[in-house]
Amino acid sequence: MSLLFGTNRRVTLIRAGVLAAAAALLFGFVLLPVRLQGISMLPTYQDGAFNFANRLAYLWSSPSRGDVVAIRMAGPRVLYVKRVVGLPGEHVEITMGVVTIDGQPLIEPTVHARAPWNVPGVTLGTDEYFVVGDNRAMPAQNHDFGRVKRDRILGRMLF
Amino acid sequence: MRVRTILIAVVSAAVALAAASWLWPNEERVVRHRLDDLAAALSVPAAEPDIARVTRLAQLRQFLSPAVVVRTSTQEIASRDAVLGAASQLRAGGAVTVSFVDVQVTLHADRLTADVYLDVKITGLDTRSGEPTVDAREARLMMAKENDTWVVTSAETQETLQRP
Repeated sequence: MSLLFGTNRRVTLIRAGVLAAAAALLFGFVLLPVRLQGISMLPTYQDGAFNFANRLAYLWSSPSRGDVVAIRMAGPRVLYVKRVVGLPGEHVEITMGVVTIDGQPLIEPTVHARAPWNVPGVTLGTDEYFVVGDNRAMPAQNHDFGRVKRDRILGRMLF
Repeated sequence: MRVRTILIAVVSAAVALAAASWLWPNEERVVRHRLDDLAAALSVPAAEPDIARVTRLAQLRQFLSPAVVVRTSTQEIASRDAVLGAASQLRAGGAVTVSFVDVQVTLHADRLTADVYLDVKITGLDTRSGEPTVDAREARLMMAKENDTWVVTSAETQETLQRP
């Protein structure tokens, strides 16, 4: 029993309470646990992979190109996990599977295979990002991607 | 003695709270319960027999206003009969579970109408590979209390990621 509760049961209970509260705060508001479902982020993340969305990542900075971000829908329980390819104000286009930013092809080391996607060009607004998954081998119609407002990006994936 | 007093106070408060919520039901909670029931009516059990399917679609009728309008990115269906007709055409390959998550209910001042913003989560099995599948879409519903029952008057899916 002394192993479980230490020498002072009251102190141990307080310590356990503080620990539980800290964990609830940490995993409820700072590091959101995310279980990835689907194949749109292959090969970077496998279906069923576990990760955390770091909500502090963009507290003092903005998402950068190449960041893998968590995007909220109606709330934080269902999230999209996508990679940022286009930044505010940029013109994004996908031609034969190659992403171009302001007319220049984007080098994407995380994309291993490309289906011949053709997506008409779009100029992003001042608070818009263009996000897409790493699995470009799948048909474009089965892949959710596109423009997203900054306020929907909850954070960056931790690893 | 002190512990006993605290215990009695806690139990009394819980009983008072339960009685109050039973006597004066919170409309937001009623709407949420109604949405849970709607999700259950939309879910398809594995190997659903035809008679069960007809029963489920008949249950679905109770959740829709006669003038309901359902809009998706590709189509608009107006009227309850048309919506149920479209639903009857959908044939799931296996069990499909529909759930509403991140539900936000905003009651209007009249307390007879409400806006609902939620995610529709659909889980099932891929008919070819047998692998689990998950899809989710944002949706906005408008609900109204008709004949003392909350029904959906309009439903619209929203695209989180805007394709060019």
